[in-house]
Amino acid sequence: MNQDATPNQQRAISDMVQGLLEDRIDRREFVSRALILGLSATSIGAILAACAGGSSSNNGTSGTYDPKKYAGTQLHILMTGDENDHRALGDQLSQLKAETGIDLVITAPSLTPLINKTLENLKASKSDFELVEYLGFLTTQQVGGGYYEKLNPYLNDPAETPPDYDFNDLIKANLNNVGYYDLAAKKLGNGATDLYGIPGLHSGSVIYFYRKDLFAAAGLQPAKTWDEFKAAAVKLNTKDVAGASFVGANDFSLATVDWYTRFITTGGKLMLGSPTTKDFKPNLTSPEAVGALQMLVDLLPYAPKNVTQYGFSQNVDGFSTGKIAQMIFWSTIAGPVFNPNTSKVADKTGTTPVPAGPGQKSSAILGGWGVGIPKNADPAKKKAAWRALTWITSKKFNMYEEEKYQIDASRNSAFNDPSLVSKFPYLPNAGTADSSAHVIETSIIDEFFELNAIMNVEFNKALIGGQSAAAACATTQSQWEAVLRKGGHLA
Amino acid sequence: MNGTLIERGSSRSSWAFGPSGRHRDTLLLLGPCVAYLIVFSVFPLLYSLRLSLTNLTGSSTSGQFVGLENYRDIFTDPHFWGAAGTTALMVGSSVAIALVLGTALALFFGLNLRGSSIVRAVITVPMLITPIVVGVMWRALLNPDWGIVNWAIGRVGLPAINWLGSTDTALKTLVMVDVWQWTPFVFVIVFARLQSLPVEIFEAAQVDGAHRLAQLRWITLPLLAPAIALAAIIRGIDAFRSFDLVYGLSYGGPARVTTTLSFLDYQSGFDFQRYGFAAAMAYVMVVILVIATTVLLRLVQVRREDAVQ
Amino acid sequence: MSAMRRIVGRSIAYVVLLLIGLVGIAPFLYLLVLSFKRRIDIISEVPPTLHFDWAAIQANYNEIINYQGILTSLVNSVIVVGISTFLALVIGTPAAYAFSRLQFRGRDTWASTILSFRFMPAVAVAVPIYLLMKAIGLTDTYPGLILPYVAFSIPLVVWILIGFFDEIPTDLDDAARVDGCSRFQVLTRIMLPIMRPGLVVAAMFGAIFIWNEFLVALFVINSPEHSTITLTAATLVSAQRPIDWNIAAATGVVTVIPILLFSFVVQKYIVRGITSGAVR
Repeated sequence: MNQDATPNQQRAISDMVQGLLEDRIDRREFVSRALILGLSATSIGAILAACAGGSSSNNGTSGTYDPKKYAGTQLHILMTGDENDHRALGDQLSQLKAETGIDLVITAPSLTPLINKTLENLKASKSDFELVEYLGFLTTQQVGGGYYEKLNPYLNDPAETPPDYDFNDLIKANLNNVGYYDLAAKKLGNGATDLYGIPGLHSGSVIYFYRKDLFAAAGLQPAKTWDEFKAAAVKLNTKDVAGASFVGANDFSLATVDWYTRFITTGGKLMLGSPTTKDFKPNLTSPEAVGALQMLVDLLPYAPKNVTQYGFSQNVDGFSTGKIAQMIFWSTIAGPVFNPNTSKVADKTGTTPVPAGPGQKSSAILGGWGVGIPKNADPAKKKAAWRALTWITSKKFNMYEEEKYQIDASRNSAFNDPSLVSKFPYLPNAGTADSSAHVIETSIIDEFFELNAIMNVEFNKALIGGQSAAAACATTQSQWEAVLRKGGHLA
Repeated sequence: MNGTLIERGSSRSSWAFGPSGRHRDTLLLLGPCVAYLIVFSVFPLLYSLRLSLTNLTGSSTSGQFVGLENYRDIFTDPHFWGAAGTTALMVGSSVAIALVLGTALALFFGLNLRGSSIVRAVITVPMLITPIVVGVMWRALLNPDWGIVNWAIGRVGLPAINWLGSTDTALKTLVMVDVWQWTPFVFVIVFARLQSLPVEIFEAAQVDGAHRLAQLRWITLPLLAPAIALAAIIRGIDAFRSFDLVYGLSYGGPARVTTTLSFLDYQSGFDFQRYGFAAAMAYVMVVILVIATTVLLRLVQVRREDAVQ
Repeated sequence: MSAMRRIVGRSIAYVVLLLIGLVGIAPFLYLLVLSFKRRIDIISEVPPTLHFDWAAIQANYNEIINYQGILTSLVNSVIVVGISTFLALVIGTPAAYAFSRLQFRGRDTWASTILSFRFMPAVAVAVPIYLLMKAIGLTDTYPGLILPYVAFSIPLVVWILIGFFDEIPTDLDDAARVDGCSRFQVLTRIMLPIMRPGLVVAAMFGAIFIWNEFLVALFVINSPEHSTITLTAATLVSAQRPIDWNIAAATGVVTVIPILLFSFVVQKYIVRGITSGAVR
């Protein structure tokens, strides 16, 4: 094959070769099409020679992809039950069976139970599950722990990977977050070539939600900087509608969404050094760190009365009932917020990328999940597992979950598909946010959740008035250092 | 303990004969129970003990042996002592209030008014419901934005209470929900005991002309004391161990005021995957319980001997 | 005069009874109302109006019954808890009897040791139990839950029954043994009938704690067909998704109704009338 062929060309060519082998097109047609695509005569000749005698009775050829090769296999997937992924997959199980003959059984507990159940299965002599969905934040822990099967051989085998899989359609940022890992150098993504997971079932970052009607009435544009955000909050704050909202409760998203976004978009850098050189030091007493928290404290008068108890649920509720004018949040809430059955402001909401400080790039934390095959799964079923994996992360499934449940897909095509975009105008923003999102530095160590929990408790305490923002950052810094030292990441 | 087994063994020769079949009886009655517990309870205990001496965390397959380091970390951790204090406060108040209310309810239902069996069935329900459902239900009731409790309070003219959001009220709210859920437990135990007391005692007392209140103080309550004590011990142990309510209602917050030892243990083990550390903390909790119950049982023994028979 | 006082006293008592009943049932009525509403209405109507929409009711209950399989979970819980409690009684009753009646060295220590098996926090016990079940190959099965649950119930059952046995005078035992009964026969023929309230209470409490058990079930059970009620209910609450109050309420209602019925039935067994006369 011509190495300079673009992915589209390669796809077209492989389609044609397939067609030739299955006798759908004859040799003359093949030649004319190939010439149009720009294949050299030598290549054409080589292909024709290889396919000589190749007719539709090709079942034994290793180069042919047979969708139903693993029909009759029963597989088990362990995945998250929190985010509608399992519902989307559940809806499509009969389709999977029809197309591949594979029976997939879903186990979908919520997050913490999922993590613990996953770890127990990965460490056992034999895993009960052939497919596992793991949180992007835990890639280093699980993939880096060497528990997952290397997928390159499967991906590169044309007999195992559907010809229309289009691996390059998967968003690079997500692949680097959950898929690529260098076990030897203990490094995640960005240059590593060993693949251990495929992004799925959803990805996601943070975007800015605002009330188009309220902004228009006040003559305001959606905020592009944090100063504009604050100004809008002040101007739009009334008895019935809060000028802005954020996660103020002792909740996972306080640290990772509202604080972290403001922190990195004002130039903050969370960690200095690295665990491997034992100088992984937090940077929480920097002006950006304190400033980001202080921004939240300063927003309190313009936020809902009970904002310090607002976690994920309450902010979505508040925005959907029209009581909040603007906020930044996980793009996953776009689904409920834009749905007229669950939101009173479905037609009044707009989105943009998150605000940023002057001269800074708009960026937020990269969320999302990956799906992999545990190394200790039944070896006889691993190839079938890969088959199911390609199906679950296929273009078709990504489009389905986007359309039915507004789950953030992991493929460019799903974010940019014209029919989807016309239904869900926020999609391009979600897509851009995902591509430009930032992997949170603390996710590369085991203690990620513990560090997060500490930050949430202390920052929430600052918001309820129990300590100043500076004090909250200082105590978080010292507690983090203690945890990092204990974990051997800091001398 | 070993002595008893050896003793029993030595009387095996007299099994076939009458009265010394007592040892055989003991074995027959007690044996299955002990054997079952050894298999299913002792193994986990030993496993956890061994785990507590390692530094096993999430991603590693097996931890390294670190001796008593986990225990040392626990005792030097300020969060541990904070949680210990919170636990003492929470367990103490919940159990005490539940005992008083439960006993009062038992006495009230002892009057056997018409229709009371229906009401009894209703109030027994709370302790039978899945804790997550209890948590969600109370979160709905006490929701600061749309919950009905604050609305009702507002209608009466009182200021809304920030139940689970303020550091002052969060722990009290937790105790309140715990009491709501487990008072039925005390009630059923005490009530069943009350119902199984022979009527003759009360009839005799009335014949003697004893005043209602005196009857209560000198006859009823002392007779109920063993049941109350049993309820107290069991309730105390479970309140100490359980984290479901904290998990469902407040998740340890705000600012850790509702973080009990059991919740801290759950968090360390499940949220942070510090398995070795969590096992050690579990053992510390067991030791605390053993000490507490030994002391309490001594008290109960003493009281039993004093009680009017 | 004293007749008047009695009437007033009685009336007050009935009012108190009514109040207790109302306070007890109020939260569940609220739950019932919430289960009939759409989520958007729950969070915007304060207080909830009594205007109901049949489509919303159907949607909520359809979700939990057909999609989340709550009826299956209920049945599973009932089966697992029922069998476990029964076995715990079978194993624990003789043991409690022995502790109550028999004298042997270290009796109190043994009794305390048995109770102390309850001391271990669930967090520490869940994983080893799971590993044990996995080793035997019983993950995702009923026995995989029943075996550990019996072990969890036994201490409580034994302790409650010791208390009840202690209240029965030993004269009864002696009389029967004089008549030629062995200890075991005394237990089965004489004690058990009298012990009905005690057995019911012990069964009830043994059942409660395993009915609500979460961590062991979490690890041992994989498939939705074997899921227990606690596992299904646990999916209601998550930090990554808004709580579906209407679904949670419907779940609450569906779980409470059988419990309420169970509670009614059980009440009969702990009242006087069954027990009196036995001690003559």
